[in-house]
Amino acid sequence: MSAVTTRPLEQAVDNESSLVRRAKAGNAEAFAELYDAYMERVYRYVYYRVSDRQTAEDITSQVFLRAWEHIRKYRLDGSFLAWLYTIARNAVIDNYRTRKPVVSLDDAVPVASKAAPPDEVAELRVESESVKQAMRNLTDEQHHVLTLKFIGGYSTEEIARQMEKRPGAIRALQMRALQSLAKHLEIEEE
Amino acid sequence: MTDFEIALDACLAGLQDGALTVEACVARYPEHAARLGPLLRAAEAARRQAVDLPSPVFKGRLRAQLLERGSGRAAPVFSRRLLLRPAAALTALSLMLITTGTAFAQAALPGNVLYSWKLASERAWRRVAIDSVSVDLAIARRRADEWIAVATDTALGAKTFVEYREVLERVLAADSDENHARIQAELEDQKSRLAAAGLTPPPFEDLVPPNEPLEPVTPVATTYLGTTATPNGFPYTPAPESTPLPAPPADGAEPQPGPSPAVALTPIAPPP
Repeated sequence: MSAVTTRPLEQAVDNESSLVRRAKAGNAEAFAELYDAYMERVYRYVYYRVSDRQTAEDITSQVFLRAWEHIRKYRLDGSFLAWLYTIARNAVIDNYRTRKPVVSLDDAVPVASKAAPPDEVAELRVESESVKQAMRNLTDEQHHVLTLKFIGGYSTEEIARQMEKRPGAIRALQMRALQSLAKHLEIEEE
Repeated sequence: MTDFEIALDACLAGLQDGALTVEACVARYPEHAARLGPLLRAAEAARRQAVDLPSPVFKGRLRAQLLERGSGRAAPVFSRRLLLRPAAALTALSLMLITTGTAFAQAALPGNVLYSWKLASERAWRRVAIDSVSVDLAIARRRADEWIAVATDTALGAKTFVEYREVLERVLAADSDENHARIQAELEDQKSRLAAAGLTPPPFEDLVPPNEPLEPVTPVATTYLGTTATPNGFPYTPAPESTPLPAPPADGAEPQPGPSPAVALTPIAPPP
C-alpha cells in the first residue's frame, strides 16, 4: 500500500517512441519494456477508480492485453501512457456495466497512517471508506479527471488535451467533482 | 471560467506540488475562503486515499502472459497485410474485369470493339483445349453465325468469310476416320444455316489444309465464267460450273496449272 505520489507526464520513458514503433511492428520485447515502464501507473489509476485489488488486477490485465492487441491502431502523435489511461478508463466503465458494484473490503489505509496509533488507523480506515463511498457518486468524467490529477499527476492543461476538452471545462469538472465529494463527506462551508 | 474555478485550480496544483496547504490556499484567496475550504479538504481526502501497489507476482504473471501472446505474433504481418490487401483487391478486380470482358466479348461481332478480345479468348481456348477439333468446330459455327450477322456489310462480310475459311481449313486438316462423322455433321449443319441466310460457304472439299501451300488465287471474276454473287453481293463460284483461270505467269514463265475443275477456290474480294 502506498500513499498517492504523483508522476508527471514528462516522466515517460526516454525511448518511448522507439519502443512503440517496435511494438507496433510486433516486437513483444519492446512492448514488455513499455509494460515495465507504465504498468504500475495504470494499476494505480485503475485501483483508484475501483478500490478493489482483485478488480484492479483484472482490469489492468485487460488494459495491457487490449493495448497489445490494438497497438497497431495507436498513433504515434500522442503520449503512450495517455493512450493506456484511455483504455483503462474504458475498461473501468465496462467493468461497472458488466459487474455488480464491488464493495471493497481491502484494508486500504493511507501509508502515512502506518505508524499511527490504532485509534488513528481505525479513524483513517473509516475516512477511507467514506471517501470511497463518496467517490462512487462521481460521474465517470469527474472521477477520471480527479484520478488523472491526483494519481496521474497531470496538470489541468494536460488532462484537457487528453480528454480533448478545453482547460476551462476540466476546471469546471473538477470543481463539480469536489463539490460532490464535499457534500457526500459532509464537509460544510466555513 | 470563473475566478473561483481559477483559484481552486491554482490551489489544487499547489497541494499537488506540496507547495501549499489547505490553510495557505484559503488565506491566499480570502474572497473565496468559504467555498474553497470544503473543496480543498475534500480534495485532500481524495488525494490521501490509499492506492494499492501491484503485487510482484501479478506483475510478473501479466508480463509473462503478454510475452507469451506476443511470441505467436509474426512481426511482419502488419506490413505484409498492408501490401497484400491492395494487391489482392487489384488481382480480384483484374480477374473480374477479364472475366466480365471476356464474357461480353463472346457476343461481339466483327467490327465491334471487343471482337479482337473474342478472337484472343478463342486462341486461348484452343491452347488449353484437350479436344481441339471440338473447339475448332465451335469456332467455325461462331464464324458462320457472324458471317450471317454481318452479311449486309460487304467489307465485314468478306473479312468474316476469310476468317471462317481459315477455321474450316483447320477443321478439315484434322479430318480423320475418328473425327470424320462429327466434322461432317457439323459442317453440313453450318452449310444449311448459311444457305438459309442466302450465303454459300466455300466448298469444304476444296479447302486445303493449312500445312499445304495454297493454290494461287484465281484472278477476279470478270474473266471468270460461272462466277455469281450471293444475295449480299459476296462472290462465290459454284464448283461444278467454274473453270478457274491459270495463275498469271510471273516473269514470263509458263502459266501454272490451276486447281482441278472440282477445286475452285473463290476469289475473296468484296464487290465494288
